[in-house]
Amino acid sequence: MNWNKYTLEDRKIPGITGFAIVLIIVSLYIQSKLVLFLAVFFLFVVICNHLYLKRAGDRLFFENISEKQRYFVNDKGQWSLTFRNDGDPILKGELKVYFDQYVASEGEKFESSHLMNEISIPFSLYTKQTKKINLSFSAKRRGIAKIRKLEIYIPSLVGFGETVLESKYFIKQQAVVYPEPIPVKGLKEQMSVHQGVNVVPYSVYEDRLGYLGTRDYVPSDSFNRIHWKASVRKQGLQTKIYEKISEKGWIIALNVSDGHSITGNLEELLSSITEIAYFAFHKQIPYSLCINVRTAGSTPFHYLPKGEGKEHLQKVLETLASISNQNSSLPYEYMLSFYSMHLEYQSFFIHAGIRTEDTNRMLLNLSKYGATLFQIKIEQEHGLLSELVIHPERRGLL
Amino acid sequence: MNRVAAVIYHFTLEIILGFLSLFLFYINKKQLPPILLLGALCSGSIILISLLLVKFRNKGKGLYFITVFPLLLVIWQQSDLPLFMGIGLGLIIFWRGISLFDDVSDHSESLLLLLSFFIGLIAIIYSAMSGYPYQSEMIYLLIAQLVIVLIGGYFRKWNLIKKDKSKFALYFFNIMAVITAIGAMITILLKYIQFIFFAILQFIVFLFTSVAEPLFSILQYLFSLVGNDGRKANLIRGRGLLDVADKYQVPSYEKTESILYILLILGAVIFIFYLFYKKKLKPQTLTIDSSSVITVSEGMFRAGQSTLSRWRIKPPEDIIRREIFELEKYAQKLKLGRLPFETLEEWWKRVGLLGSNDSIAIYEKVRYGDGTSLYEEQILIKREIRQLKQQLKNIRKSILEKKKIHNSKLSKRLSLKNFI
Repeated sequence: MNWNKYTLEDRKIPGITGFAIVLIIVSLYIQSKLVLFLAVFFLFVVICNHLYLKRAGDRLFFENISEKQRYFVNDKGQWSLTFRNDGDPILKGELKVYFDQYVASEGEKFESSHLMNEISIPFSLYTKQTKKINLSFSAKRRGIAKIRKLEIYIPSLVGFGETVLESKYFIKQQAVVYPEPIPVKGLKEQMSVHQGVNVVPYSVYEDRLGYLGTRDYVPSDSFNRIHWKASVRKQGLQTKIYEKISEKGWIIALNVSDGHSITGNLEELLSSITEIAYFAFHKQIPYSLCINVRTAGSTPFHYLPKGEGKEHLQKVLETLASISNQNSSLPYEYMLSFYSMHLEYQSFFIHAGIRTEDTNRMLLNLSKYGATLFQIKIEQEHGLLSELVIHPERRGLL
Repeated sequence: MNRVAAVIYHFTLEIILGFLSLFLFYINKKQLPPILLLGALCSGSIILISLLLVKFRNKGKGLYFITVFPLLLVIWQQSDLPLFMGIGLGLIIFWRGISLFDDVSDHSESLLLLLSFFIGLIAIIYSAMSGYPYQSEMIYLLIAQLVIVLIGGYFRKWNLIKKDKSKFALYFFNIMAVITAIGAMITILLKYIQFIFFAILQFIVFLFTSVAEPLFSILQYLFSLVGNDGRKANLIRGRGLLDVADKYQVPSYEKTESILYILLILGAVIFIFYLFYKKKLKPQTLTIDSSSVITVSEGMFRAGQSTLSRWRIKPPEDIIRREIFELEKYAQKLKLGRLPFETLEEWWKRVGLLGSNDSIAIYEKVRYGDGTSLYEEQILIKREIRQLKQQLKNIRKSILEKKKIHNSKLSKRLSLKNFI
């Protein structure tokens, strides 16, 4: 069965039933058919009431579709709930849907203080009928919204009491609301200019081992670029063309914790990372993402390996959407050391979030291996990407 | 119009309960109480007063005393009944009309049904004992009460749906028809049931006597063996005083009777105390409940004390402030009150009231600024406060329901634990 069931029978019914039984005995003594009819009629009404409450919703089925829909903020969407009733008719019940506040039903004012949105819908369903309820909403905030609970209040058809059905299993429909980007200053200025291994259209560096072909010599070309064999073959000087390469590959590491709690700037940080993700998508820069939120698996935190393109962007946005204040965090230093020991090394390290002394030491260590450090700061509704310079600790000689 | 119908429906149930209690006084006189006159007067007046309240709101109350009340008294004069009863009836109708009109959903039909059955049971037994000729009228009233409760409850739900109306109606009337048929069938079999019932009773008595007889004979035998001397001595002593002993036996029974009565009363008193005690105990055992946690935190802010002193202050002069004051008072009753450090907006947010920003702005203007309120603003506030009260009631109801479910879950879990 799909439901947890609670029956709330009217408390006065047992009392009246007692009187009815006494009335039956009285009717036998005073030989009154009317009194007997009254008592028996009421008793059967009570029995019917009891049976109805016991059976109501027994064969009411809810179709639990597994569906993941993705939205940007202010997008409109809908969940559809399908019910099928093979049991007793349900007259003027009430369906209550509880869902996360990341989405809100249309027309409803958005208030951040609410933890859960609740909607009640009149619900009547005759035997052998199906009902599809479409629940329209608009995405309000970053997050993954799920329907947390369904409750159906079925009042007794005969009139005394009601049965409450509560969904037993998770409802699998979810709406992912992607984070909104906020402008991040200094992003373009920090574009990579170092030598690396990634092929790019424009760069001052070239891969001397991977050459593409030759072209005619122009006087500004250096002699060591002349392809002698090709020149002989072509009977004219030829210059080698190399692949332009640049060092690429970022790692964005987000520290969500602030002491023992989640940082207050979480939304701004995530929005800044979103902006960086879009930027990287347009410039075709591969990047990976680490967030110190505890997960199950071989990597104990959220980690997306290096990638680029549309699919990677989608994964990143979904990961960012899944972060919430209720997550339990992992020590940032632990994540950094895990990264430096087990994960693919990237030459640009972008740090976001709180930085402690220990973090500084770890970051310094990373920079010793050649990574260039950046950090995202939050300044009045926009992010600021700047180079992070950490001076090694000075130890006095004693 | 729905509201008027609901008021009339509920008042009809109350009238029937009233009639049944009226029968108690008339059984001795072997007369039929003036049901028709009372019924006509009551139903006519309740329809008029609810219509007046719908049309004229608060002015309707005054209009009732000008128009309907004198009319009722004039008709009452035609009958031979005393005038003060007529005045009482008019006032009762006025009270019930207003109270039902304010909130119909608050009143439970099953309580009325319970009371009707209780009074009906007493009246039926009493009338059967005194051979009252109008007993069947009473029973018809009881049946009518039951049928009105059933159909009224169903109709209220049925009226609100749009699809499949006929199907649902058919289903309900099928159930009712089956129940009526079963009831009628059993009623026809009254004589056989009576026969079976008394046969069972006789059988039980027979069983008891057949078990008791040998026991008593054994006892007799045992007494004859052991207790011979004592009994003999008794007999000797009693022989001369036989007549006197017979006379003394009556007071001795009285003594046991009075002891029994005292025990019975003591038992009843203990039972009542137990009930009170249980009621007191209940909130203590259920402190796991989240809503009671909230009251604990209220205690920390010393909200209870300060709010108490706040209610002792006179309500403010300004109409808008008075309305808000009344709302706070009402919320306090429902345990959703405003804490002393909260602004109006914060309070509404915490409790979950959806009030408009305009009304907050008006209140703040009146409360903290120099501004005086306009007439339109007063009307707006009044309308809004009425809605807010309704919302408060709904919130309270949902909290109570949650509590109820929580309790039932808890008790289920407890019983499971005990079972294991």
